Amino acid sequence: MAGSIGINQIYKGAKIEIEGTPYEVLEYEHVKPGKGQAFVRVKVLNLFTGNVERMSFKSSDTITLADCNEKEMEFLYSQGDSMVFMDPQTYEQIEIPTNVVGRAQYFIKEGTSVYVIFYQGKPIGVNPPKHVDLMVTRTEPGVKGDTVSGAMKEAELETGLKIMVPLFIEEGDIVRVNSETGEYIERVNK
Amino acid sequence: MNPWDKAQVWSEFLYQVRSFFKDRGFTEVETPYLAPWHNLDPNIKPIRVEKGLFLQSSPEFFLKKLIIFGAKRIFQIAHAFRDDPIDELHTKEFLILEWYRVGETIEAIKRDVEELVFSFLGRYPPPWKNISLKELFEEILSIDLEKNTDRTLFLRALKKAGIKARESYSWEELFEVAFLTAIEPELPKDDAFWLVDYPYPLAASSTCNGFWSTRCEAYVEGVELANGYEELGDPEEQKKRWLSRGKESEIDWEYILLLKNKGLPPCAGIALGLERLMMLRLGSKNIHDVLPFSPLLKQA
Repeated sequence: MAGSIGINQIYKGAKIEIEGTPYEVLEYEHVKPGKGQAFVRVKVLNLFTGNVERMSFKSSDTITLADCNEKEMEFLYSQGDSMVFMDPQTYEQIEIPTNVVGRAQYFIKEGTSVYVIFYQGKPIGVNPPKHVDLMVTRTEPGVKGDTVSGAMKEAELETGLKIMVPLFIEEGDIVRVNSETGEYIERVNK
Repeated sequence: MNPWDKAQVWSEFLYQVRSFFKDRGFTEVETPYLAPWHNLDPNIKPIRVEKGLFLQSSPEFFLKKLIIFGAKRIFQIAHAFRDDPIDELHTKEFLILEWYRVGETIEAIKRDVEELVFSFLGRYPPPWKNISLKELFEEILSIDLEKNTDRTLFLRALKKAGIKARESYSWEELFEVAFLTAIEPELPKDDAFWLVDYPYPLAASSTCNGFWSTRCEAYVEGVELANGYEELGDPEEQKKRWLSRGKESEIDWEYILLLKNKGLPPCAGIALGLERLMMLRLGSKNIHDVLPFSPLLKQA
């Protein structure tokens, strides 16, 4: 899969490699500053750190494509400082250090299907589903009937994630959460 | 708006522009669009119509020749031709409004732009603030450009500041990459201002005070509207800059000779993209929306 392309052929979602670090292209634009030559400016996600960075290239530059691929896997269980995932096709299991799983660890529970990102054959990140349903394990007692005021309170979910939820949510409720923003979406009927 | 609606808006606009300059004592001039040379600028691809004949990318040097022969205040509304890729801000043929004031500084030209834009848009009254590239590099990247005139040093400083840049880039390219990556995104997008303090390698044909040039760039609502400077009159320096940018056979030697023999009086000038000003007036994000015709768009 690795190779190189002209930066002019860049596309959203392309995985590129710069100075030994793989990045995913989130956005790109062609720019030509006054009296200047043509450049391509990209917004990229550092696949090692999860940080968003900006970079610019001369439009005649070529860039290296990162040797990356994604595989759908199922989360099985946590074990010490790592988490175990299984390929549902081959039943092959791999262990990924919790710090590599990163914030995704707060959005997955046993049985959740995720995309594991591999770079040069090694797992470097985990993408949880966009919406996940998680149980509330701790929150202040609910206030009945207050479904419209917009007031929020803190709640801890079964994965250890803390989010803001409406006042009527109670311990034991299942809530749907956006894994990109970490925001509450709705209560899910049990 | 259909092409005829747009043509009428343009007619009214060009009338306003002409009255604006007439009121200020300017003479409108015409200069050739075809010449055996082109403005040697490594970043402008000229359109060649046949061997040794080019469509002009700006009227700059014809206007300066008129100044050498005695013009004091001149302007031209010129079609300009550049072989740029067509996008929302660029097309291969566009209208440049270019004017010069002899015996005056860039400050007088800046006031002209501010008054013209204010009269046409009804927003951003003069004077606009100056934003210094020198200070932006210091504040955002902690880089003192003047202490990094050596390409290798500059590259090292940029890497330290977290800017990814390639070893092969020239000083000018390093500057642009840093500007686009870290500086330009921080510029105000809802205001009008002047970007000033361009370093020598980006001086184009402007005079320099040591490392810093008199070049300035007008930004309005995030759009680069105009680029001006106090004009370089030194024939040797002009020759040096052109030779570093292009072929000897494509240089306008007549201009160099005039600089040597008659001399360019101190003057300042600017070029403003009229379609971009029209975009700001009509609230459009696409240059092709404000033109009556965009015959090249289908090929893009």
